[in-house]
Amino acid sequence: MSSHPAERLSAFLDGELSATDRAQVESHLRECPACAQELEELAAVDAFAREVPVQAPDGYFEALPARVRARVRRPARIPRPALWAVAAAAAVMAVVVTPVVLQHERSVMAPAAQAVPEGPAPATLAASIAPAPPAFAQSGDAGRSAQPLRPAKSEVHGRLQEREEADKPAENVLSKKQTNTADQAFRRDASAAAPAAPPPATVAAAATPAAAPPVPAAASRAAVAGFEEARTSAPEPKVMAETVEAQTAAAGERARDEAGADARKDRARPAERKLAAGSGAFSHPDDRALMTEKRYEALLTRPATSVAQARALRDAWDLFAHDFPADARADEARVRAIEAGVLAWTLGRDPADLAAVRTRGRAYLEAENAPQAARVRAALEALP
Amino acid sequence: MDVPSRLDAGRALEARAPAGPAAPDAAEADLLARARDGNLFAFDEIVKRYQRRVYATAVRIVRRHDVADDVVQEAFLRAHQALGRFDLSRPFGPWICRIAANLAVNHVRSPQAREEALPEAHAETPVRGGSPLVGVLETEARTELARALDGLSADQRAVFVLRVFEELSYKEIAEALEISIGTVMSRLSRARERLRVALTPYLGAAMARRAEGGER
Repeated sequence: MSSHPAERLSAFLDGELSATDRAQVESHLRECPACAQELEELAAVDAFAREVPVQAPDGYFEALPARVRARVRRPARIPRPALWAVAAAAAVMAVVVTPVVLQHERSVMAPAAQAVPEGPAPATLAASIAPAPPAFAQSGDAGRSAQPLRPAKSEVHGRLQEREEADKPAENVLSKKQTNTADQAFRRDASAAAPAAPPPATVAAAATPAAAPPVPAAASRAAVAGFEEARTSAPEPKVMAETVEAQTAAAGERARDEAGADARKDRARPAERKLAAGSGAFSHPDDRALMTEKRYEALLTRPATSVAQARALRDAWDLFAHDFPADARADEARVRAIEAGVLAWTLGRDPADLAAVRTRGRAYLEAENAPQAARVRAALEALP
Repeated sequence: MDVPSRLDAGRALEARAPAGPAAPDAAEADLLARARDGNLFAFDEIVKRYQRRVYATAVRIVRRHDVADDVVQEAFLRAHQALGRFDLSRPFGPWICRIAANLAVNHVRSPQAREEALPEAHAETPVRGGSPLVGVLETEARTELARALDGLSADQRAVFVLRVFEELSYKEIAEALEISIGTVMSRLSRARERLRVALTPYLGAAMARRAEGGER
Protein backbone atom coordinates (compact mmCIF):
# COMPACT_ATOMS: atom_id res chain seq x y z
CA MET A 1 0.00 0.00 0.00
CA SER A 2 1.27 3.49 -0.79
CA SER A 3 1.84 5.84 2.12
CA HIS A 4 -1.17 7.61 3.62
CA PRO A 5 -1.90 10.76 1.69
CA ALA A 6 -2.53 12.77 4.87
CA GLU A 7 -2.15 16.38 3.73
CA ARG A 8 -3.31 15.62 0.23
CA LEU A 9 -6.73 14.40 1.29
CA SER A 10 -7.96 17.91 1.80
CA ALA A 11 -6.81 19.01 -1.64
CA PHE A 12 -8.22 15.80 -3.07
CA LEU A 13 -11.56 16.70 -1.62
CA ASP A 14 -11.41 20.05 -3.39
CA GLY A 15 -10.33 18.56 -6.69
CA GLU A 16 -7.15 20.58 -6.50
CA LEU A 17 -4.59 17.81 -7.00
CA SER A 18 -2.66 17.19 -10.18
CA ALA A 19 -3.78 14.22 -12.23
CA THR A 20 -0.87 12.11 -10.97
CA ASP A 21 -1.48 12.94 -7.34
CA ARG A 22 -5.15 12.35 -7.70
CA ALA A 23 -4.61 8.92 -9.21
CA GLN A 24 -2.26 8.01 -6.37
CA VAL A 25 -4.72 9.14 -3.73
CA GLU A 26 -7.56 7.34 -5.43
CA SER A 27 -5.70 4.08 -5.57
CA HIS A 28 -4.67 4.48 -1.95
CA LEU A 29 -8.23 5.14 -0.86
CA ARG A 30 -9.36 1.93 -2.45
CA GLU A 31 -6.94 0.00 -0.28
CA CYS A 32 -7.08 1.97 2.95
CA PRO A 33 -10.40 2.14 4.82
CA ALA A 34 -8.89 4.44 7.44
CA CYS A 35 -8.05 7.08 4.87
CA ALA A 36 -11.39 6.62 3.15
CA GLN A 37 -13.07 7.20 6.49
CA GLU A 38 -10.94 10.26 7.11
CA LEU A 39 -11.92 11.69 3.75
CA GLU A 40 -15.58 11.21 4.60
CA GLU A 41 -15.06 12.99 7.88
CA LEU A 42 -13.28 15.89 6.25
CA ALA A 43 -16.21 16.32 3.91
CA ALA A 44 -18.54 16.16 6.90
CA VAL A 45 -16.55 18.91 8.64
CA ASP A 46 -17.20 21.23 5.72
CA ALA A 47 -20.84 20.30 5.61
CA PHE A 48 -21.25 20.78 9.31
CA ALA A 49 -19.54 24.14 9.28
CA ARG A 50 -21.88 25.28 6.52
CA GLU A 51 -24.87 24.35 8.62
CA VAL A 52 -23.98 26.80 11.34
CA PRO A 53 -25.38 30.19 10.51
CA VAL A 54 -23.70 33.39 11.56
CA GLN A 55 -25.49 35.84 13.72
CA ALA A 56 -25.23 39.56 14.04
CA PRO A 57 -26.94 41.71 16.65
CA ASP A 58 -30.54 42.67 16.00
CA GLY A 59 -30.94 45.51 13.59
CA TYR A 60 -27.34 45.35 12.43
CA PHE A 61 -28.11 44.80 8.77
CA GLU A 62 -30.86 47.38 8.83
CA ALA A 63 -28.39 50.03 9.94
CA LEU A 64 -25.30 48.97 8.05
CA PRO A 65 -26.08 50.44 4.61
CA ALA A 66 -26.51 53.90 6.08
CA ARG A 67 -23.30 53.56 8.08
CA VAL A 68 -21.40 52.51 5.00
CA ARG A 69 -22.96 55.34 3.03
CA ALA A 70 -21.82 57.82 5.62
CA ARG A 71 -18.28 56.57 5.34
CA VAL A 72 -18.30 56.48 1.56
CA ARG A 73 -19.26 60.12 1.58
CA ARG A 74 -16.98 61.04 4.37
CA PRO A 75 -14.10 58.66 4.67
CA ALA A 76 -13.27 59.52 8.22
CA ARG A 77 -13.26 57.64 11.44
CA ILE A 78 -16.48 56.86 13.16
CA PRO A 79 -17.16 59.56 15.70
CA ARG A 80 -17.35 58.58 19.29
CA PRO A 81 -20.05 60.36 21.17
CA ALA A 82 -18.05 60.42 24.37
CA LEU A 83 -15.21 62.11 22.56
CA TRP A 84 -17.24 65.19 21.87
CA ALA A 85 -17.72 66.10 25.46
CA VAL A 86 -14.00 65.93 26.10
CA ALA A 87 -13.22 67.68 22.85
CA ALA A 88 -15.58 70.51 23.68
CA ALA A 89 -13.89 71.00 27.00
CA ALA A 90 -10.55 70.88 25.27
CA ALA A 91 -11.65 73.54 22.84
CA VAL A 92 -12.45 75.87 25.68
CA MET A 93 -9.05 75.16 27.13
CA ALA A 94 -7.43 75.70 23.79
CA VAL A 95 -8.88 79.16 23.39
CA VAL A 96 -7.38 80.16 26.68
CA VAL A 97 -4.11 78.34 26.42
CA THR A 98 -3.28 78.57 22.75
CA PRO A 99 -1.81 82.08 22.66
CA VAL A 100 0.61 81.21 25.41
CA VAL A 101 1.42 77.95 23.75
CA LEU A 102 2.02 79.52 20.38
CA GLN A 103 4.43 81.89 21.98
CA HIS A 104 6.28 78.91 23.29
CA GLU A 105 6.06 77.09 19.99
CA ARG A 106 7.63 79.97 18.18
CA SER A 107 10.59 80.17 20.44
CA VAL A 108 11.13 76.43 20.28
CA MET A 109 10.84 76.20 16.53
CA ALA A 110 12.77 79.34 15.63
CA PRO A 111 16.14 77.66 14.92
CA ALA A 112 14.64 75.32 12.38
CA ALA A 113 12.73 78.06 10.74
CA GLN A 114 15.82 80.16 10.24
CA ALA A 115 16.90 77.75 7.57
CA VAL A 116 14.04 78.98 5.45
CA PRO A 117 15.48 81.23 2.78
CA GLU A 118 12.92 83.99 2.54
CA GLY A 119 10.65 85.69 4.97
CA PRO A 120 11.17 86.16 8.65
CA ALA A 121 11.18 82.75 10.20
CA PRO A 122 8.86 83.34 13.12
CA ALA A 123 6.26 84.89 10.86
CA THR A 124 6.35 81.92 8.52
CA LEU A 125 5.91 79.60 11.35
CA ALA A 126 3.10 81.59 12.75
CA ALA A 127 1.42 81.34 9.40
CA SER A 128 1.47 77.61 9.55
CA ILE A 129 0.43 77.34 13.13
CA ALA A 130 -1.54 80.30 14.30
CA PRO A 131 -4.88 81.47 13.01
CA ALA A 132 -3.36 84.85 12.28
CA PRO A 133 -5.68 86.85 10.01
CA PRO A 134 -2.93 88.07 7.64
CA ALA A 135 -1.83 84.54 6.92
CA PHE A 136 -5.37 83.58 6.15
CA ALA A 137 -5.97 86.44 3.77
CA GLN A 138 -2.76 85.69 1.99
CA SER A 139 -3.49 82.04 1.58
CA GLY A 140 -7.00 82.80 0.50
CA ASP A 141 -5.52 84.62 -2.46
CA ALA A 142 -3.28 81.71 -3.17
CA GLY A 143 -6.31 79.48 -3.28
CA ARG A 144 -8.10 81.67 -5.79
CA SER A 145 -5.15 81.95 -8.12
CA ALA A 146 -4.81 79.64 -11.07
CA GLN A 147 -1.80 77.96 -9.54
CA PRO A 148 -2.20 74.24 -9.25
CA LEU A 149 -2.22 73.52 -5.58
CA ARG A 150 0.33 70.83 -5.82
CA PRO A 151 2.52 70.54 -2.78
CA ALA A 152 6.25 70.21 -3.16
CA LYS A 153 7.08 66.56 -3.36
CA SER A 154 9.48 66.34 -0.47
CA GLU A 155 6.98 68.11 1.65
CA VAL A 156 4.28 65.57 1.14
CA HIS A 157 6.74 62.79 1.52
CA GLY A 158 8.09 63.98 4.79
CA ARG A 159 4.65 64.32 6.17
CA LEU A 160 3.43 61.04 4.89
CA GLN A 161 6.41 59.30 6.35
CA GLU A 162 5.82 60.96 9.61
CA ARG A 163 2.24 59.94 9.60
CA GLU A 164 3.03 56.43 8.53
CA GLU A 165 5.52 56.22 11.33
CA ALA A 166 2.77 57.08 13.70
CA ASP A 167 0.50 54.54 12.14
CA LYS A 168 3.02 51.78 12.00
CA PRO A 169 1.73 49.40 14.61
CA ALA A 170 -1.56 49.38 12.82
CA GLU A 171 -0.12 49.37 9.33
CA ASN A 172 -2.17 46.52 7.99
CA VAL A 173 -5.02 47.08 10.26
CA LEU A 174 -7.06 49.27 8.02
CA SER A 175 -10.16 50.33 9.73
CA LYS A 176 -8.58 49.63 13.06
CA LYS A 177 -6.13 52.33 12.19
CA GLN A 178 -8.93 54.78 12.40
CA THR A 179 -9.87 53.61 15.80
CA ASN A 180 -6.28 54.07 16.80
CA THR A 181 -6.32 57.59 15.56
CA ALA A 182 -9.45 58.18 17.50
CA ASP A 183 -7.75 56.84 20.55
CA GLN A 184 -4.80 59.11 20.00
CA ALA A 185 -7.11 62.02 19.58
CA PHE A 186 -8.85 61.02 22.73
CA ARG A 187 -5.60 60.94 24.61
CA ARG A 188 -4.66 64.27 23.18
CA ASP A 189 -7.93 65.72 24.26
CA ALA A 190 -7.59 64.21 27.66
CA SER A 191 -4.15 65.63 28.13
CA ALA A 192 -5.33 69.01 26.96
CA ALA A 193 -8.04 69.00 29.53
CA ALA A 194 -5.61 68.14 32.28
CA PRO A 195 -4.61 70.98 34.56
CA ALA A 196 -0.87 70.71 33.88
CA ALA A 197 0.37 72.64 30.86
CA PRO A 198 0.41 70.18 27.97
CA PRO A 199 2.86 70.22 25.09
CA PRO A 200 2.11 73.06 22.70
CA ALA A 201 0.87 71.31 19.59
CA THR A 202 -1.24 69.10 21.74
CA VAL A 203 -3.54 71.78 22.97
CA ALA A 204 -3.97 73.40 19.64
CA ALA A 205 -4.68 70.10 18.01
CA ALA A 206 -7.30 69.33 20.55
CA ALA A 207 -9.34 72.16 19.17
CA THR A 208 -9.62 70.45 15.82
CA PRO A 209 -12.35 67.94 16.50
CA ALA A 210 -14.29 70.48 18.42
CA ALA A 211 -14.32 72.87 15.53
CA ALA A 212 -16.95 71.03 13.57
CA PRO A 213 -20.09 70.74 15.68
CA PRO A 214 -21.34 74.31 15.86
CA VAL A 215 -21.52 75.07 12.13
CA PRO A 216 -20.79 71.71 10.62
CA ALA A 217 -20.63 72.00 6.85
CA ALA A 218 -19.12 75.42 6.68
CA ALA A 219 -16.69 74.65 9.41
CA SER A 220 -15.52 71.51 7.75
CA ARG A 221 -15.01 73.16 4.44
CA ALA A 222 -13.24 76.01 6.05
CA ALA A 223 -11.15 73.52 7.93
CA VAL A 224 -10.12 71.77 4.77
CA ALA A 225 -9.37 75.12 3.27
CA GLY A 226 -7.38 76.02 6.31
CA PHE A 227 -5.39 72.87 5.98
CA GLU A 228 -4.67 73.60 2.38
CA GLU A 229 -3.66 77.10 3.11
CA ALA A 230 -1.53 76.19 6.03
CA ARG A 231 0.37 74.07 3.61
CA THR A 232 0.57 76.52 0.75
CA SER A 233 1.61 79.34 2.98
CA ALA A 234 4.62 77.45 4.22
CA PRO A 235 7.31 77.68 1.61
CA GLU A 236 9.83 75.09 2.69
CA PRO A 237 9.83 71.42 3.54
CA LYS A 238 11.70 72.28 6.69
CA VAL A 239 8.82 74.24 7.96
CA MET A 240 6.41 71.66 6.74
CA ALA A 241 8.26 69.04 8.68
CA GLU A 242 6.38 70.46 11.59
CA THR A 243 4.08 67.97 13.08
CA VAL A 244 0.91 67.25 11.24
CA GLU A 245 -0.86 68.16 14.41
CA ALA A 246 0.37 71.69 14.25
CA GLN A 247 -0.96 72.10 10.75
CA THR A 248 -4.25 70.55 11.40
CA ALA A 249 -4.43 72.65 14.48
CA ALA A 250 -4.09 75.67 12.27
CA ALA A 251 -6.86 74.32 10.12
CA GLY A 252 -9.04 73.71 13.10
CA GLU A 253 -8.38 77.12 14.53
CA ARG A 254 -9.25 78.77 11.30
CA ALA A 255 -12.28 76.65 10.91
CA ARG A 256 -13.45 77.99 14.20
CA ASP A 257 -12.63 81.55 13.31
CA GLU A 258 -14.17 81.29 9.92
CA ALA A 259 -17.03 79.04 10.82
CA GLY A 260 -19.62 81.55 9.71
CA ALA A 261 -18.01 82.61 6.48
CA ASP A 262 -17.72 79.99 3.82
CA ALA A 263 -14.18 80.55 2.75
CA ARG A 264 -14.53 78.49 -0.37
CA LYS A 265 -17.75 79.86 -1.69
CA ASP A 266 -16.19 81.24 -4.80
CA ARG A 267 -14.16 78.19 -5.51
CA ALA A 268 -16.71 75.44 -5.28
CA ARG A 269 -19.09 75.02 -8.15
CA PRO A 270 -22.76 75.16 -7.22
CA ALA A 271 -23.36 71.47 -7.66
CA GLU A 272 -20.37 70.65 -5.56
CA ARG A 273 -21.36 73.04 -2.92
CA LYS A 274 -24.64 71.27 -2.65
CA LEU A 275 -22.88 67.96 -2.46
CA ALA A 276 -20.48 69.14 0.16
CA ALA A 277 -23.28 70.62 2.20
CA GLY A 278 -25.27 67.45 1.89
CA SER A 279 -22.43 65.29 2.99
CA GLY A 280 -22.52 66.77 6.44
CA ALA A 281 -19.77 67.64 8.80
CA PHE A 282 -16.34 66.25 8.57
CA SER A 283 -16.02 65.84 12.19
CA HIS A 284 -12.29 65.50 12.01
CA PRO A 285 -10.69 67.79 9.51
CA ASP A 286 -7.27 66.34 10.17
CA ASP A 287 -8.41 62.86 9.23
CA ARG A 288 -10.06 64.05 6.14
CA ALA A 289 -7.11 66.12 5.13
CA LEU A 290 -4.76 63.25 5.68
CA MET A 291 -6.95 60.87 3.73
CA THR A 292 -7.22 63.37 0.92
CA GLU A 293 -3.54 63.89 0.89
CA LYS A 294 -2.66 60.21 0.83
CA ARG A 295 -4.93 59.56 -2.05
CA TYR A 296 -3.75 62.61 -3.87
CA GLU A 297 -0.14 61.69 -3.44
CA ALA A 298 -0.78 58.11 -4.55
CA LEU A 299 -2.46 59.34 -7.69
CA LEU A 300 0.31 61.81 -8.47
CA THR A 301 2.86 59.05 -8.59
CA ARG A 302 0.69 56.41 -10.19
CA PRO A 303 2.11 55.27 -13.53
CA ALA A 304 0.00 55.30 -16.66
CA THR A 305 1.84 53.70 -19.52
CA SER A 306 -0.92 51.54 -20.93
CA VAL A 307 -4.43 52.33 -22.06
CA ALA A 308 -5.89 50.45 -19.12
CA GLN A 309 -3.70 52.32 -16.66
CA ALA A 310 -4.52 55.65 -18.22
CA ARG A 311 -8.22 54.91 -18.03
CA ALA A 312 -7.93 53.74 -14.47
CA LEU A 313 -6.00 56.88 -13.58
CA ARG A 314 -8.57 59.04 -15.32
CA ASP A 315 -11.34 57.39 -13.36
CA ALA A 316 -9.39 57.59 -10.14
CA TRP A 317 -8.88 61.33 -10.55
CA ASP A 318 -12.56 61.67 -11.29
CA LEU A 319 -13.38 59.80 -8.17
CA PHE A 320 -11.03 61.96 -6.16
CA ALA A 321 -12.68 65.10 -7.47
CA HIS A 322 -16.03 63.60 -6.72
CA ASP A 323 -15.10 62.49 -3.24
CA PHE A 324 -13.53 65.76 -2.24
CA PRO A 325 -15.39 68.34 -4.27
CA ALA A 326 -14.63 71.11 -1.83
CA ASP A 327 -10.98 70.31 -1.55
CA ALA A 328 -8.58 72.71 -3.18
CA ARG A 329 -7.06 69.83 -5.10
CA ALA A 330 -10.35 68.84 -6.67
CA ASP A 331 -9.72 71.27 -9.49
CA GLU A 332 -6.30 69.83 -10.11
CA ALA A 333 -7.87 66.36 -10.00
CA ARG A 334 -10.41 67.34 -12.63
CA VAL A 335 -7.69 68.68 -14.87
CA ARG A 336 -5.61 65.58 -14.36
CA ALA A 337 -8.60 63.38 -15.15
CA ILE A 338 -8.81 65.18 -18.47
CA GLU A 339 -5.11 64.80 -19.09
CA ALA A 340 -5.27 61.12 -18.27
CA GLY A 341 -8.26 60.85 -20.57
CA VAL A 342 -6.26 62.39 -23.38
CA LEU A 343 -3.47 59.96 -22.64
CA ALA A 344 -5.90 57.04 -22.70
CA TRP A 345 -7.11 58.12 -26.09
CA THR A 346 -3.61 58.72 -27.41
CA LEU A 347 -2.49 55.28 -26.32
CA GLY A 348 -5.55 53.33 -27.41
CA ARG A 349 -7.32 55.48 -30.02
CA ASP A 350 -10.57 54.16 -28.66
CA PRO A 351 -13.50 56.36 -29.75
CA ALA A 352 -15.12 55.79 -26.37
CA ASP A 353 -12.12 57.32 -24.64
CA LEU A 354 -12.19 60.21 -27.07
CA ALA A 355 -15.84 60.85 -26.36
CA ALA A 356 -15.25 60.53 -22.63
CA VAL A 357 -12.43 63.03 -22.55
CA ARG A 358 -14.28 65.47 -24.75
CA THR A 359 -17.24 65.38 -22.40
CA ARG A 360 -15.00 65.95 -19.42
CA GLY A 361 -13.14 68.75 -21.16
CA ARG A 362 -16.30 70.51 -22.20
CA ALA A 363 -17.79 70.17 -18.74
CA TYR A 364 -14.68 71.70 -17.24
CA LEU A 365 -14.48 74.61 -19.65
CA GLU A 366 -18.16 75.38 -19.38
CA ALA A 367 -18.17 75.48 -15.62
CA GLU A 368 -18.45 78.94 -14.12
CA ASN A 369 -15.17 78.50 -12.40
CA ALA A 370 -12.39 77.01 -14.50
CA PRO A 371 -9.11 78.30 -13.12
CA GLN A 372 -7.04 76.02 -15.30
CA ALA A 373 -8.94 76.48 -18.51
CA ALA A 374 -5.78 77.22 -20.46
CA ARG A 375 -4.17 74.00 -19.36
CA VAL A 376 -7.27 72.02 -20.26
CA ARG A 377 -7.48 73.66 -23.66
CA ALA A 378 -3.85 72.80 -24.27
CA ALA A 379 -4.50 69.18 -23.32
CA LEU A 380 -7.53 68.99 -25.56
CA GLU A 381 -5.49 70.27 -28.48
CA ALA A 382 -3.93 66.84 -28.75
CA LEU A 383 -7.32 65.51 -29.80
CA PRO A 384 -8.50 65.45 -33.41
CA MET B 1 -29.85 38.94 13.17
CA ASP B 2 -33.12 37.69 11.87
CA VAL B 3 -32.63 34.03 12.43
CA PRO B 4 -35.96 32.28 12.58
CA SER B 5 -35.61 29.96 15.46
CA ARG B 6 -36.84 26.71 13.96
CA LEU B 7 -35.75 27.29 10.44
CA ASP B 8 -33.44 24.76 8.99
CA ALA B 9 -30.07 26.28 9.56
CA GLY B 10 -28.62 25.00 6.36
CA ARG B 11 -31.29 26.53 4.24
CA ALA B 12 -31.21 29.75 6.18
CA LEU B 13 -27.54 30.08 5.46
CA GLU B 14 -27.98 29.40 1.78
CA ALA B 15 -30.59 32.09 1.61
CA ARG B 16 -28.50 34.77 3.17
CA ALA B 17 -25.06 33.89 1.96
CA PRO B 18 -25.21 32.51 -1.53
CA ALA B 19 -21.86 30.92 -2.09
CA GLY B 20 -19.87 30.31 -5.17
CA PRO B 21 -19.50 32.23 -8.37
CA ALA B 22 -22.84 33.64 -9.40
CA ALA B 23 -23.59 34.27 -13.03
CA PRO B 24 -22.85 37.90 -13.81
CA ASP B 25 -26.14 39.61 -13.63
CA ALA B 26 -27.10 42.52 -15.82
CA ALA B 27 -29.03 44.37 -13.16
CA GLU B 28 -26.07 44.11 -10.85
CA ALA B 29 -23.67 45.35 -13.49
CA ASP B 30 -25.97 48.29 -14.00
CA LEU B 31 -26.07 49.01 -10.28
CA LEU B 32 -22.31 48.82 -10.11
CA ALA B 33 -21.91 51.12 -13.08
CA ARG B 34 -24.17 53.67 -11.46
CA ALA B 35 -22.39 53.30 -8.15
CA ARG B 36 -19.12 53.88 -9.91
CA ASP B 37 -20.51 57.08 -11.36
CA GLY B 38 -21.14 58.31 -7.86
CA ASN B 39 -24.71 57.22 -7.34
CA LEU B 40 -24.85 56.52 -3.64
CA PHE B 41 -28.27 54.91 -3.83
CA ALA B 42 -26.98 52.37 -6.29
CA PHE B 43 -24.13 51.61 -3.97
CA ASP B 44 -26.59 51.32 -1.13
CA GLU B 45 -28.35 48.59 -3.06
CA ILE B 46 -25.08 46.79 -3.52
CA VAL B 47 -24.41 46.99 0.19
CA LYS B 48 -27.86 45.62 0.95
CA ARG B 49 -27.36 42.75 -1.42
CA TYR B 50 -24.02 41.68 -0.08
CA GLN B 51 -23.81 42.81 3.52
CA ARG B 52 -24.82 39.48 5.01
CA ARG B 53 -22.43 37.54 2.90
CA VAL B 54 -19.55 39.91 3.56
CA TYR B 55 -20.35 39.96 7.24
CA ALA B 56 -20.44 36.18 7.33
CA THR B 57 -17.03 36.01 5.68
CA ALA B 58 -15.58 38.53 8.08
CA VAL B 59 -17.04 37.22 11.30
CA ARG B 60 -16.06 33.67 10.48
CA ILE B 61 -12.49 34.81 10.19
CA VAL B 62 -12.23 37.35 12.99
CA ARG B 63 -14.75 35.66 15.32
CA ARG B 64 -15.93 38.88 16.90
CA HIS B 65 -18.80 41.07 15.93
CA ASP B 66 -17.13 44.41 16.57
CA VAL B 67 -14.06 43.52 14.54
CA ALA B 68 -16.18 42.02 11.78
CA ASP B 69 -18.18 45.22 11.67
CA ASP B 70 -15.00 47.21 11.12
CA VAL B 71 -13.92 44.84 8.41
CA VAL B 72 -17.26 44.90 6.62
CA GLN B 73 -17.42 48.66 6.50
CA GLU B 74 -13.86 48.91 5.36
CA ALA B 75 -14.40 46.26 2.70
CA PHE B 76 -17.33 48.16 1.22
CA LEU B 77 -15.37 51.36 1.40
CA ARG B 78 -12.46 49.78 -0.44
CA ALA B 79 -14.73 48.25 -2.99
CA HIS B 80 -16.35 51.61 -3.59
CA GLN B 81 -13.01 53.28 -4.08
CA ALA B 82 -11.84 50.54 -6.41
CA LEU B 83 -15.01 50.30 -8.47
CA GLY B 84 -13.28 52.19 -11.23
CA ARG B 85 -10.90 49.31 -11.65
CA PHE B 86 -13.47 46.58 -11.22
CA ASP B 87 -14.52 44.66 -14.30
CA LEU B 88 -18.28 45.00 -14.23
CA SER B 89 -18.80 41.78 -16.14
CA ARG B 90 -17.46 39.84 -13.20
CA PRO B 91 -19.51 38.90 -10.16
CA PHE B 92 -19.18 41.35 -7.31
CA GLY B 93 -19.75 38.89 -4.47
CA PRO B 94 -16.54 36.89 -4.63
CA TRP B 95 -14.58 40.07 -5.18
CA ILE B 96 -15.86 41.86 -2.10
CA CYS B 97 -15.55 38.71 -0.03
CA ARG B 98 -11.94 38.42 -1.04
CA ILE B 99 -11.38 42.03 -0.01
CA ALA B 100 -13.09 41.34 3.29
CA ALA B 101 -11.09 38.18 3.91
CA ASN B 102 -7.86 39.98 3.25
CA LEU B 103 -8.82 42.81 5.59
CA ALA B 104 -9.97 40.34 8.20
CA VAL B 105 -6.70 38.46 8.21
CA ASN B 106 -4.64 41.60 8.40
CA HIS B 107 -6.84 42.91 11.11
CA VAL B 108 -6.36 39.88 13.25
CA ARG B 109 -2.67 39.82 12.50
CA SER B 110 -2.14 43.27 13.91
CA PRO B 111 -0.44 43.41 17.29
CA GLN B 112 -3.41 45.18 18.77
CA ALA B 113 -5.86 42.54 17.65
CA ARG B 114 -3.62 39.76 18.87
CA GLU B 115 -3.64 41.17 22.35
CA GLU B 116 -7.35 41.03 22.50
CA ALA B 117 -8.58 37.78 23.89
CA LEU B 118 -10.67 35.56 21.76
CA PRO B 119 -14.33 35.70 22.54
CA GLU B 120 -16.19 33.42 24.83
CA ALA B 121 -18.30 30.72 23.29
CA HIS B 122 -20.55 32.16 20.65
CA ALA B 123 -24.23 32.50 21.07
CA GLU B 124 -25.43 29.67 18.96
CA THR B 125 -28.67 29.41 17.12
CA PRO B 126 -31.40 27.47 18.76
CA VAL B 127 -31.43 23.80 18.23
CA ARG B 128 -33.06 22.58 15.07
CA GLY B 129 -36.12 20.37 15.07
CA GLY B 130 -36.11 16.67 15.63
CA SER B 131 -35.63 14.59 18.73
CA PRO B 132 -34.33 16.33 21.83
CA LEU B 133 -31.29 14.08 21.83
CA VAL B 134 -30.31 15.13 18.32
CA GLY B 135 -30.86 18.70 19.40
CA VAL B 136 -28.58 18.39 22.41
CA LEU B 137 -25.91 16.68 20.39
CA GLU B 138 -26.09 19.31 17.74
CA THR B 139 -25.80 22.12 20.23
CA GLU B 140 -22.78 20.43 21.71
CA ALA B 141 -21.33 19.94 18.29
CA ARG B 142 -21.75 23.58 17.45
CA THR B 143 -20.10 24.65 20.65
CA GLU B 144 -17.29 22.27 19.84
CA LEU B 145 -17.01 23.65 16.33
CA ALA B 146 -16.92 27.21 17.62
CA ARG B 147 -14.18 26.27 20.06
CA ALA B 148 -12.21 24.48 17.38
CA LEU B 149 -12.53 27.43 15.03
CA ASP B 150 -11.33 29.74 17.78
CA GLY B 151 -8.34 27.45 18.14
CA LEU B 152 -7.33 27.94 14.53
CA SER B 153 -5.22 30.86 13.41
CA ALA B 154 -6.96 33.60 11.49
CA ASP B 155 -4.88 32.63 8.49
CA GLN B 156 -6.25 29.13 8.65
CA ARG B 157 -9.78 30.33 9.15
CA ALA B 158 -9.50 32.67 6.18
CA VAL B 159 -8.45 29.87 3.89
CA PHE B 160 -11.16 27.61 5.26
CA VAL B 161 -13.86 30.25 4.89
CA LEU B 162 -12.93 31.21 1.36
CA ARG B 163 -12.86 27.58 0.33
CA VAL B 164 -15.83 26.17 2.16
CA PHE B 165 -18.23 29.08 2.10
CA GLU B 166 -17.14 31.10 -0.90
CA GLU B 167 -16.01 28.04 -2.83
CA LEU B 168 -13.03 29.80 -4.29
CA SER B 169 -10.32 27.82 -6.02
CA TYR B 170 -6.93 27.51 -4.37
CA LYS B 171 -5.56 29.90 -6.93
CA GLU B 172 -8.20 32.48 -6.13
CA ILE B 173 -7.61 32.08 -2.42
CA ALA B 174 -3.88 32.43 -2.92
CA GLU B 175 -4.41 35.67 -4.80
CA ALA B 176 -6.90 37.03 -2.33
CA LEU B 177 -4.68 36.43 0.67
CA GLU B 178 -1.39 37.02 -1.12
CA ILE B 179 0.04 33.64 -0.26
CA SER B 180 1.22 30.71 -2.38
CA ILE B 181 -1.02 27.90 -3.52
CA GLY B 182 1.11 25.50 -1.51
CA THR B 183 0.39 27.55 1.59
CA VAL B 184 -3.32 27.52 0.83
CA MET B 185 -3.15 23.76 0.54
CA SER B 186 -1.30 23.17 3.78
CA ARG B 187 -3.29 25.69 5.82
CA LEU B 188 -6.54 24.28 4.63
CA SER B 189 -5.42 20.75 5.30
CA ARG B 190 -4.34 21.60 8.82
CA ALA B 191 -7.49 23.56 9.52
CA ARG B 192 -9.72 20.74 8.39
CA GLU B 193 -7.72 18.18 10.26
CA ARG B 194 -8.04 20.09 13.52
CA LEU B 195 -11.74 20.58 13.04
CA ARG B 196 -12.14 16.94 12.13
CA VAL B 197 -10.40 15.78 15.28
CA ALA B 198 -12.46 18.12 17.42
CA LEU B 199 -15.71 17.10 15.83
CA THR B 200 -15.12 13.38 15.44
CA PRO B 201 -17.70 12.39 18.04
CA TYR B 202 -20.38 14.33 16.24
CA LEU B 203 -19.52 13.73 12.63
CA GLY B 204 -21.40 10.45 12.40
CA ALA B 205 -24.72 12.23 12.63
CA ALA B 206 -23.68 14.90 10.16
CA MET B 207 -22.51 12.27 7.71
CA ALA B 208 -25.73 10.34 8.10
CA ARG B 209 -27.78 13.45 7.45
CA ARG B 210 -25.67 14.19 4.44
CA ALA B 211 -26.16 10.68 3.07
CA GLU B 212 -29.86 10.67 3.69
CA GLY B 213 -30.60 14.13 2.38
CA GLY B 214 -28.12 14.08 -0.47
CA GLU B 215 -27.43 17.66 0.56
CA ARG B 216 -25.92 19.52 3.39
